Amino acid sequence: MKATINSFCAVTVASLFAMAAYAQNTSAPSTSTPSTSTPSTSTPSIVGSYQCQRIDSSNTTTSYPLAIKSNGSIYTLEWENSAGFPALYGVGLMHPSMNNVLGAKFFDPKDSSIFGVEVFNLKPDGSLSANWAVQSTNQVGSETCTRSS
Amino acid sequence: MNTIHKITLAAALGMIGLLACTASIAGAPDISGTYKCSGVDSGSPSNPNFNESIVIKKNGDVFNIQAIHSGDLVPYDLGTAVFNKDVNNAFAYVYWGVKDNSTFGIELMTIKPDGSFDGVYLDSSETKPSTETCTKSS
Repeated sequence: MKATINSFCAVTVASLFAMAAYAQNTSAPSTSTPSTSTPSTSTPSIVGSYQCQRIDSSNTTTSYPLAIKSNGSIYTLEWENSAGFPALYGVGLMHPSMNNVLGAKFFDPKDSSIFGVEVFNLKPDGSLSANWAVQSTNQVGSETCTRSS
Repeated sequence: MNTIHKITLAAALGMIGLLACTASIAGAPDISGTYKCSGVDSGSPSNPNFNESIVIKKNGDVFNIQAIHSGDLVPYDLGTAVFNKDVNNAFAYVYWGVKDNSTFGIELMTIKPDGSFDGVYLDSSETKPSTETCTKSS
């Protein structure tokens, strides 16, 4: 089965090369499925203010301002509700070999039973995409953030 | 077969194959297993080196984690891990103490090409990150 898949992938690669050769297209190929994160010296700092859309596993979307600050190698995160009060707090880390990924724990300051984990991906344009889970569930939510300052 | 037909056939094969290959690499890798870990804890300067096992089990979209001290049978920390959908060589997990409810930390693991982990973590009682490496044992 594995050999079949490998053969299929080889056919795919060959087909794509053939297609490119026939088309004589000189444009650079696009990479649509980034899956492995590598450090980049051009990655902007993740510190800043963001406007985020947080989607839970039930597909409910909530908008939050998010502020990420750093204290050395430790990051603090604060999501605000519509009244300007902290809705969630977080503490995060980056790995020294990966400067575009932030892992963070978060918690509800008003309900100690609500806490979870989130992994942010800092994109080259400075926006964030993330996936998260509350500790008590086995489903993930997502979050996208655009930088506001 | 004229050139246009060849282009069409190649494009069709390419797109079908691309979808198939993409599907085979999409999503988080299954990191389930038992790992032997060793680390250096910045919060224990007099005795910073430690060894532990972590047991990882897939549970829906997340992974459940148990951290067990060497020589113990029951876990002292539990955790929940997630991947980012765009990053499959790192994951983070929140952990909390089974008996010690003051333990509440975050660990970010990178996954090396050989499948071992290289992580940094921060416990709520500490002000500097600590480090840990893990190798799969079963």
